[in-house]
Amino acid sequence: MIQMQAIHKSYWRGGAELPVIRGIDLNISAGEFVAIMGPSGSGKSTLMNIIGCLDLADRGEYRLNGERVSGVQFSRLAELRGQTIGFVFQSFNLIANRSALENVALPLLYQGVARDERLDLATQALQRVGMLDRASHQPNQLSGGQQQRVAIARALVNRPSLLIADEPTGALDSRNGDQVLQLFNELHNEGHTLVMVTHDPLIGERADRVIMLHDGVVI
Amino acid sequence: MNRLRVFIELTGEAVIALWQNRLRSLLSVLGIAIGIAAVMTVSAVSSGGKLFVLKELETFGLRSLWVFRDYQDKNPQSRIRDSSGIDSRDLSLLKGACCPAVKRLSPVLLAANRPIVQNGNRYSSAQLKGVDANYTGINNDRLTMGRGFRPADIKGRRPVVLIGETVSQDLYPQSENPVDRDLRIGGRRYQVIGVLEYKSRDLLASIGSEGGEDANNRILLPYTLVQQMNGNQQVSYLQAEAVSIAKAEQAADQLRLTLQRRYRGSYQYTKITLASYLKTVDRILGGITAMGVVAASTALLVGGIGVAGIMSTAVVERIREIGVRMAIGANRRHILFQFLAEAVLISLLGGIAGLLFGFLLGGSLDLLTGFPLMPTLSGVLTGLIVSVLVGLASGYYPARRAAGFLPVEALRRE
Repeated sequence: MIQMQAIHKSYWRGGAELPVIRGIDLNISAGEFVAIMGPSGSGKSTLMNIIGCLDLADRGEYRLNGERVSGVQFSRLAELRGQTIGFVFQSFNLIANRSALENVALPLLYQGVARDERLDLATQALQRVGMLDRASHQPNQLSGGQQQRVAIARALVNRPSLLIADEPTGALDSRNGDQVLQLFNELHNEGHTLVMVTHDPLIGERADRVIMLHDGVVI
Repeated sequence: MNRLRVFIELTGEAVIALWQNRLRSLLSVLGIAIGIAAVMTVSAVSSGGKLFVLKELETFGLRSLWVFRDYQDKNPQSRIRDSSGIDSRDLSLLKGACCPAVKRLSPVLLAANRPIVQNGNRYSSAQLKGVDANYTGINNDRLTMGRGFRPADIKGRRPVVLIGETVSQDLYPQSENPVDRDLRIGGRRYQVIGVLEYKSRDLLASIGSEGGEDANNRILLPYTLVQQMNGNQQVSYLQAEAVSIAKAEQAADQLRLTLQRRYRGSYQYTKITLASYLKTVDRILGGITAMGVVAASTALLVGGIGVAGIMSTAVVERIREIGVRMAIGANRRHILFQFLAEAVLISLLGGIAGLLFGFLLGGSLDLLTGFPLMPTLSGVLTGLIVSVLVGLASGYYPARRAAGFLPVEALRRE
C-alpha cells in the first residue's frame, strides 16, 4: 500500500537548511498496524504528514496504492486525503459549535455526498465507535476520550484504505487512552491499515511492526 | 453535479459560520448597509430631483421655444426703437416652408396697459395674454372644464377667454361653474369658455425662474382682440413647439433667422428654448449626483474595509479549522470559496438591509419635504450588484490567505 524510497525533507529556518527526513525507505502493506516511534525531533511527525499527503517530500519517491504522490497537484493531494486517508489527531481537532454528527459528516461534504446520505453514513460511523447516543452533543460537551472517538468516526466515515493517527492517546488519561487503543485494535482486526505515531512503548507493543526513527533515518 | 453540490453546501457552511458570530456579522452587515443606503439615497435624490424639476418644466411644454426681438441690440440703424419687431403679417411667412423644424406656432401679445378685470364687485389681477388657437397645445395647458380656442374665435375676434385657477377663484364663488359666464375687461364684456388646469411652478418660482408670470393667474384671449386694444398689428413675441426636443434649437434658429433676413438692418432677434434649460438642469443635477456618489462611495468603501478586516480576523482565528478541513479533503478552491461566500453574504445582506433602509429614509424624506425620491429598479439592481462586488473585493484577500496555507502549517498553529 505504501512504498517509499529515499525520502528526504528539510525545513528552512533562518536561512539554514534543517534536514528532518534524511533518506527513508519504507513499505507498509494493506492490513498492517505500524507504529512509528522515536524521540521528539526525530522526524516522525514529518514522516506521518508525508504519508498522509498533508506535506510533500523534497526528494525521493512515494507511492500510495500504486499512485505516485510525489509531484502531484495540490488538488489531487486533497482528493487523496479525502478519499483514501482518515486522520486522527492528538488534540482531536473537532470543529467547535458543531454536533458530533455534523463533525463526522463533514468529510463527505467535500466528496459531494448528498446531505441525507452524509447523515446516514455519519450515524453508522458514530455507531461503530459507540458514540451514537452523543450524536447531537457539541465537542465541548464531550470528554476527551469521547471526542477522540468522534474524531475516529470522522476518520472512518469515508471508508479510507489508510488510517493515520498522531499520538491519539497523548491527550487522554490512561483509562480513556486504553479505550481508544482498544478501538484501534478492533479496527485493525477488521482489516484497516493503521499507521500510528507514538512515543509510548506499550502502544508499540500492540503494533505488528515498529519503525524506529532517529535523526531522520530509520534505525 | 457533485462538484456543484459541494459549493452549494459550502455556502451553507458559510451561513453557519456567520450565524455563530452573529454580533460580529451584524456589525459588518451594518457597515455595508450604511454605504448602500447612502448610494441609494443619492441616486434616488438625483432621479427624484430631476423628475421634480422636469414636472415643472413640463408646464411650459418641453418642446417649447420663444423668439423675440433682441432689445439689447446696439445697432444704431435699428429704426423703430419701441416696436416689438414682429407683426401679424410675419406669421403666415413663419408658418410656411421657412421653418420645417417648427411643429406649430402662436403669437403672444401682452396688453400694453393693465385694464381692470372684474365680475360685478369681484376683481382679478390677472395678466392678459393674447394668443391663437395653437397656444394651449404648445404651452402644455389643459382645461379642467369648457373648451379651448378655435381658429374661428381668433379670426372673428370673438370676445371669449380662457381663465386660470386663481382668476376663477377671484371672480366666481366656489359653487359656480365659470364656463359660459361673463367677465369684464376694461369695461368690455367677455365670455369664459374654459378654465385652465392648475400648474405648479413652486420650485421654479422659489428660484425666480418661473418666467415672470403666475401660471394660474392668467387670462388668455384671442390675440386679434389684444391687437385691437393695443391699437396696432404688433406681436410681443412668438412661442412655438419644435418637432422634437432635439430639434428645438434648430427650430428657434429657423424662426429667428427668417425674421432677421426679413428685417435686415432694422432688428436683431434672440431665442430661448426649454431644451437648453433641460441641459442645464441635467448638468447641475449631474454635478450634485457625482459629488453625492463620491461621498456615498466613501461610506461604502469604509464598509468594505470593515468586511475585509472581519474576514482577516476570522481567517486567523480559524486557521486550525482550515487545517482540519484540508486534512479531511478540502482543496484550496473549497477553502477560498467558503470564506469568499462569507464575505459576499455579509455584503449582500448589507446591500438588502441598505436598500430597505434607503427606502425608509427616502419615504420619510418624501413625507417631510414633499421632495419625491424615486427608487428605481435599476438603482435596486445596481445596489445589489455593487454589494456583491464589494463582498468579492473585500473578501478576496482574506480568502486567498486562508486557501494559501499548507495543511501542515495550518494544523500546527494554535
